[in-house]
Amino acid sequence: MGSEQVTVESLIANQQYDIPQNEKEQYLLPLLREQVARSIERSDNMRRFYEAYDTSPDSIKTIASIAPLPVTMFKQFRLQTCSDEEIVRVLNSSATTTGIPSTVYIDKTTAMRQTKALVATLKSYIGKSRRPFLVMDTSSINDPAASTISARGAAIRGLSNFARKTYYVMDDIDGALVLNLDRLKEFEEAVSDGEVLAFGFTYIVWTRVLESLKKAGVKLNLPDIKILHSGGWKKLSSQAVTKDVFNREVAAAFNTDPSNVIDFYGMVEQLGVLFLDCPAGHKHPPDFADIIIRDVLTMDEAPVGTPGLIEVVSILATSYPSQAVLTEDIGEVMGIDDCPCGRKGKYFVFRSRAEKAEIRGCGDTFAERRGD
Amino acid sequence: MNLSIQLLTCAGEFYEPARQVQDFQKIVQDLHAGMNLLFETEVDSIVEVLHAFSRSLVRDKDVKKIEGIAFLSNWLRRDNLLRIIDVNLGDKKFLDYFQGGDRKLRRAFPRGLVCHWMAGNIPTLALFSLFQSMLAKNGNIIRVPEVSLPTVLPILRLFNEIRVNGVTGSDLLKSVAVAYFPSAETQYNVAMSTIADARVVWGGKEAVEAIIGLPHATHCEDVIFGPKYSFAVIDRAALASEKLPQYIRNLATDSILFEQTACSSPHVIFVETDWDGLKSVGQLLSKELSRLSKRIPKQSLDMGTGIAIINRRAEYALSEDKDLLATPANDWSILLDHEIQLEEPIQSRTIFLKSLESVLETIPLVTRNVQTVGTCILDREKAKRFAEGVMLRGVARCVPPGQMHIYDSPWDGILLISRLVRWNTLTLMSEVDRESKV
Repeated sequence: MGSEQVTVESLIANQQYDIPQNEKEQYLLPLLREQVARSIERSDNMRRFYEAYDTSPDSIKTIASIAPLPVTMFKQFRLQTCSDEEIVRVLNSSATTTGIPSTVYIDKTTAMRQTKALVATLKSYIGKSRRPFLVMDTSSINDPAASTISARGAAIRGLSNFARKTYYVMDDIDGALVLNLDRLKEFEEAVSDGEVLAFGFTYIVWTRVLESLKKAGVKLNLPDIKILHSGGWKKLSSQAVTKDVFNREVAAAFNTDPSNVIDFYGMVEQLGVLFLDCPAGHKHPPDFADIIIRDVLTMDEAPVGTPGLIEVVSILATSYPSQAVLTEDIGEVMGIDDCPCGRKGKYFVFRSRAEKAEIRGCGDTFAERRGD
Repeated sequence: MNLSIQLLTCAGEFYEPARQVQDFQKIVQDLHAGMNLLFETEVDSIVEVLHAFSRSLVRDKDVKKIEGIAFLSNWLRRDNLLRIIDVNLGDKKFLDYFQGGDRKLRRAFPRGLVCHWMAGNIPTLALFSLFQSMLAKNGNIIRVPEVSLPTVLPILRLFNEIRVNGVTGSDLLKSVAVAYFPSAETQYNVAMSTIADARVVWGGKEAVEAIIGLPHATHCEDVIFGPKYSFAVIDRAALASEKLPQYIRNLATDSILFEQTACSSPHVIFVETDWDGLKSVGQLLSKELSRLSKRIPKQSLDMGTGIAIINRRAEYALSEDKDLLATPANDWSILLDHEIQLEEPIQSRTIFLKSLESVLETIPLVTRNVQTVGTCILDREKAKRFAEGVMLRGVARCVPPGQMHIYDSPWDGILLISRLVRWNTLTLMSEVDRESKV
């Protein structure tokens, strides 16, 4: 692929994960420079940001030299790099720990790219055909009329591109998610054989679905199912549930192979970029994205095998600065171009969400507390 | 996990590995003889041993490398200790004899057994607490955090070797025990609390609240050095002074020491100037921080603090009415704005720099949680007016830049030696009362 032919669309249209890392970076760099230039031109906030961090399109020699934007800034600032008239959708993520949602502005180009990007990524893991889609959640999580979208809702909406028909098998009863066994049975009978796609939030699958199936003594028979799940590892880690244990037990409940239980990592602020587990248990950035693991003290790219903060690089967006978004998650690049699964490029693992800072020593807030 | 009390030194004996004990009663018994000996020792002799110790601290090739040793050494000098006793008690003789008029006499008696719970952010803190209590002739049990053990024990071993005019450091250590146990072991905290005649607690909110809520004797005196916040101010006259670079250098040092975890660490610097003036001060401060960071490189950064730094930096970089001066690495950060408010501390060399019309505008911001204000105000009357305003609201110290961490008496508004004695009175019988009646 000559670099003069490379566009965002051509990178999305590629068969993913065939480009070696060095080559990929050569394709991404000019596109990222364009995004930085666009951010500077279209957003006063981003212009100031890049000035403060001494970043200009000309100064960008490597992907890691682009100053990363912390993901929480989407909660505090209107980070928009298109005109108001071009906006087709505003995503407000459901706020988790802080109570403040992120706001992400989507124009037509970004929306189309994100959808195509998702399809391109998922094709590599689950094939391209549409199939029955089992959602281990309630239908309200994907209400198109809702003004906010959660990470779960975004995942379901994205995966719906592979759905022939979608089946929601959980109910919200007094604020608790409860598995509806009848609907699950109906689903199993309706699909009987052939490929099936399923999704659930990791913690919900473990605590609500598996527990309910065990209690009811129900064992499903869906050998060709691919079960995608995301989020919620912290609670499971505290219960000493490892990924291996999770995959084995979920696979057993559905009568499928553990390799069909696939964890993925993604965020509302970088829709269209999903990192799924390959058969070797690693996550791979697709051709239109990349990962930088940053050392929290030096902010340099951490060497392979060293944990640090995950930064997600994406060339997809024209309506907001997606070029370099720094998360509050910890991960580790395990290797480059040599994953046993055969996929090229960097590959990494997600370790955990970073713990919040605590004031150390005798320092304190200035606030006086009375009657606490 | 070892759940016993790890006794590192007790009654003059050092234990390596630590001696495991299950309760404090044995420790109290072991200290009894040492406490009697300490009571019989004149305070001048104790001061001389500490003075001799101050010299040996900076001569020992291993101990002198410990952070804060030079300051501890200066603090332990005879003239400083006598000044501290004078500030606390008025006259050192109160510690040895009844003093007063002909019949009505006063004397400062030790409280008895003082139990100390130390914070781990300042390596030598335990020694300041111990030696003031020792000067008041109290026995002492000190619970140190694990992180402080490599500091405290070598210093006490060195103290053990001091001998002056027949009084030795070893004699004085016969009234001292240093122990460690995990802070989660409530039973040991309770045991230590219930035997105390006085409790001295240093630490953050969680640590302090955990201890002061424990059962204790009715007569027990509590001295709490709890969590505090500090800031600094620079007025127009100081800004115009040719000594401004020196003031900024001193504030930079105050900010970097202890990685801003001390109660006396400044988190905000308010400057009487406009936005352009503030940016100039920011440039000066950034030069000093860069210089200091080369001399004292940041060794590590935990994820949580790192993320807090990254987020605040980005917020200031993105904002229209704010500015950021920082290293590419998460080393030091200067966050400039003109909002007249205190900011939640981030620590780790993160300084908020704010412009205002008058330093007096900071007075309403002060709460009881604010301890020290680095005060760069040249006019003495203005400095007094400012100090009166902030101190009425809770500030304990207003000091020039460069002196924010100089441990002194009083600290946090407390005269520690004075709090660790009991003022007892003796009224002698009059001549008339003494005449025998036949």
